[in-house]
Amino acid sequence: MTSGYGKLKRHDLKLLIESLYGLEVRNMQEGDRGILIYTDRGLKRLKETKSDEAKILFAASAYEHIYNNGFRQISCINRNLNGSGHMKYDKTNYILQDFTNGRVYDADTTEKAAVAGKALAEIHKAGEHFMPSPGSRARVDWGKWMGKFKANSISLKKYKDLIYLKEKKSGIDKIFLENANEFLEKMQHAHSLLNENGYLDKVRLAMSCNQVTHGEFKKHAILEGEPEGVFITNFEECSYDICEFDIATLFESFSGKNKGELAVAAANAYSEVRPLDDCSVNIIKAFLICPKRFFKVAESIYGRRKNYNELELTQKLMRSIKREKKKEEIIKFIDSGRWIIK
Amino acid sequence: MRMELFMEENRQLEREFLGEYNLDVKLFEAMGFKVKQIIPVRSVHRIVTDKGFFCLKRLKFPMEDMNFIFAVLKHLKEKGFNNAFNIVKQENGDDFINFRGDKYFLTEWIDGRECDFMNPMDLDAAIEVLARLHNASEGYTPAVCPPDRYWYGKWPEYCAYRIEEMRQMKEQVQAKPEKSEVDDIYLDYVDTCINDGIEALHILDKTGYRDLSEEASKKRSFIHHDFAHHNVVHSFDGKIHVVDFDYSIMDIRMHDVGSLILRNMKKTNWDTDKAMDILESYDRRNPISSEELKVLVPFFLFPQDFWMISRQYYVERKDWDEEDFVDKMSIKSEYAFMRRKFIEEFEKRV
Repeated sequence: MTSGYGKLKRHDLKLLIESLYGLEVRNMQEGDRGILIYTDRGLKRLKETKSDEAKILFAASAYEHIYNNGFRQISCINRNLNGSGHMKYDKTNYILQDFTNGRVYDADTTEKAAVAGKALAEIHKAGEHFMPSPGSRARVDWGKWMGKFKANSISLKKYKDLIYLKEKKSGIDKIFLENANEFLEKMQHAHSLLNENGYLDKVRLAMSCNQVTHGEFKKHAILEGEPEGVFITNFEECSYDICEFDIATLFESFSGKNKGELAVAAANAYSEVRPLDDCSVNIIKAFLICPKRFFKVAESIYGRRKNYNELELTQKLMRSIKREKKKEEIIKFIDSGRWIIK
Repeated sequence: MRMELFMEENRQLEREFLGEYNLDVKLFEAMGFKVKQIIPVRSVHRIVTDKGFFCLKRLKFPMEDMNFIFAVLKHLKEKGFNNAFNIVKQENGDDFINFRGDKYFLTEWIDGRECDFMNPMDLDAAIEVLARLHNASEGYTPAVCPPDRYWYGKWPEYCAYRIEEMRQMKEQVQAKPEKSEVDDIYLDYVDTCINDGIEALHILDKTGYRDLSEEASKKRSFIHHDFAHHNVVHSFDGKIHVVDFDYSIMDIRMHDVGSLILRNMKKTNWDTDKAMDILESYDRRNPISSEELKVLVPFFLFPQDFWMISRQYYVERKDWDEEDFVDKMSIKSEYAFMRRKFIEEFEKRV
């Protein structure tokens, strides 16, 4: 095997998979998304994971829950003959999951955006009442966003004040200062939007029905599936959270000049399966407004200062500012009145 | 046959501690069951057996301390506090088993998720259970209370000892011919922290701390002393459980409440609103007196984190990466300034 999976020996791997999973491996092909394994039970993907067993178990049981509740176009983690959701090879954990040959789904038209929105709603519907397998370590994000936004805005303010006091400001300091006020305001605005739009009520509701969400519902998680359908993958980062978080992530993944239209098409298709109210829309807006990328880079520069490399971080900071600005189109569209959920 | 064969996970952080476990099939045979799977979770093992799931722990304290902890759990159960895990008795009726020079005990295992203090609902539920725990702790009379677990009235003594330890460490660092990055950070902050410690002692002296201790000692109440998010578990049927009473001590309840506030402050950038929310939530369940509130100020002011990380570096010489120490030392040193600002605001609000 080459590149990222270079340390794997093809023959060893074949024997290991066959003995652990009781499959017949017919061919293997390395791709940028892992190793594709052609077996007598269909196409599988072998993917390296940094998660420990308990976290893999949580994701594996979430996949199974979604699948058993009727959403079948999903890359379920295969359990081996011992019932475990992972295999160990050369001290690294791997998961074997169902897969497809489909390309990354390009939701560049309102019709395609609607397909993605509907698929997400169906996943959320199937993700209700999820109880993980015994021994799992659950990832839980219920209720944390409001506190997190507030804490992050305090940090941003602290960084800003510190740099103002610096006599000699570096290039990165100047870029940060030019943008700090705007993003600080956005972080505070995101916090108030959550506060004023019943965020905690949504959390209560999600907690009462043990709602599991995708957690990373962006471009690479959506692949082309059956004719005009989609196949959902990368559910490994799933967590207990409110559904609005996934919807905002989907909106962020839209590119091109008609992002607003794509978002409203996706929201309408979503709403047909799981109705969205005005509070939901404002909560989605809060997630979009929150400058999380900008904050993350600022934190690495002025907070943690781990692996500090000024040139690299300057580039990262500029990229993050660009990406934050890209979200503005959707936010403006929501505020424009053209945002109508049927 | 060594039990490593059964291990399916080997988490880096726990490796050192769990490596001390002398796990052997014979241990489980002696416990009367067959083990199917062992998974390390933090500093314990979750074991799957033919008789169900259990949590296996090695006794890490002297027997006197363990008896104190076992009695704490028994007392809570007798007082109707059903949110702590029960000890699973051995076949001979003992709480623990001796195996090759080590002692092990089992508790029930309940699958669930760790509490998240950033979630206001989780935090409120945790405060509710803490308030009930404090009420249920009253009337505890252990056969023997190890001196280290008797903290009534001892705060000034412990503070003074820690201040002195910081001074000694300072001398030790100053005498070093070549200084590391950790040394430099330590020297930058140690004087501020020593002064904070001294001031905390003065303030404590002016509060009603001694009366509060006297009152608590009459009630014979204990505290959890490690009420961290990972020691509060929500099972998926909606119940809440408190685990790990290893550090429980006889002390005033404000020690637990203050620690809970500090844990939250570190996560929320010293947000005074959050501190007030915690106090109000606790006060709704267990009214807090004004004297108790006053005691919190020196509690917050004392540079506990700075003392602890310095001790781990210079005295205990923990086998951690130097870079980790640099990170921890700089974070905990900066708390000195944030704490001051927080206390100023806190005093205005209470």
